[in-house]
Amino acid sequence: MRRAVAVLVFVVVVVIAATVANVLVRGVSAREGPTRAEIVVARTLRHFAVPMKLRAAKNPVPMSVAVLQEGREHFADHCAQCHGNDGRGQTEMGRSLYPRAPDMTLAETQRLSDGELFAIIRDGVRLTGMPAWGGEHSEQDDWKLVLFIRHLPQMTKEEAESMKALNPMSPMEMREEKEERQFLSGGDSHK
Amino acid sequence: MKKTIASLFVFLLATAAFAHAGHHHVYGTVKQLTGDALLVHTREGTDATISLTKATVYKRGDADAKRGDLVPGVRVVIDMTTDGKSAEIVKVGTK
Repeated sequence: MRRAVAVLVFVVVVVIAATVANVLVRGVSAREGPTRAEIVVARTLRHFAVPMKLRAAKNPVPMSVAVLQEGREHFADHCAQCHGNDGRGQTEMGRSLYPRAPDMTLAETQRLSDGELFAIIRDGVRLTGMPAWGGEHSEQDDWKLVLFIRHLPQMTKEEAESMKALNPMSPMEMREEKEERQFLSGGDSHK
Repeated sequence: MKKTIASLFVFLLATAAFAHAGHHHVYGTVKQLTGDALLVHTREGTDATISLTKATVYKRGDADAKRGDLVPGVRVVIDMTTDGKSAEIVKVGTK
């Protein structure tokens, strides 16, 4: 028995030493996506990070055209930079985060309860790019965002297109877009 | 304490992920399209072969474009995938 424990300890020490050596020599990059194990651990931790009472909460805001529009505008202004107007996470920021911004039209997000989605918006997710928006706007606004997230799988291309006018743009992005437009229309071909 | 240990675990697992080529844009003019290989003469003066995949999206302004629009002489701006291995979006010039 003692021998087995000693072997186990030895193996653990070797694995840790190899991992530390690997980090020191090669560094750590966020360019590749998380491993399956990381995803499982992170999602489990996220699940338990939501208070039990909130986990079972239903959205108190009833769906209506006006509420959906409010959620859409809020999403385009605050969330789309990482998540994309269609919620699929295919933005420069979303693709480069670690972990990547999720495709929220898929079951992994849609099967979360209303309360879990609300908690993620209000409290953020530690060790990810998801900020805690609580305090920045009202809880009503967060629940409206939950309704909008529920709408994402049914969203049309035209709807996502119409949100572009509401997206904030940094001066650098404006410059890049202008440069691209000029280049594609036959303007200056040199950098 | 549990969270700290779990965070450390996640960090250690993360060491399995290492860098590949960067996420970047290619500005250039189409020289040739052979199968899934798009040969582009970049504005920096070099030639680059870009891999097109089934997932590659083609745009001309806000409208959709198609692979057939990639004829010699047309200008393109290509957004590469995060791993730098293929084209994610090919924006096709109007001239």
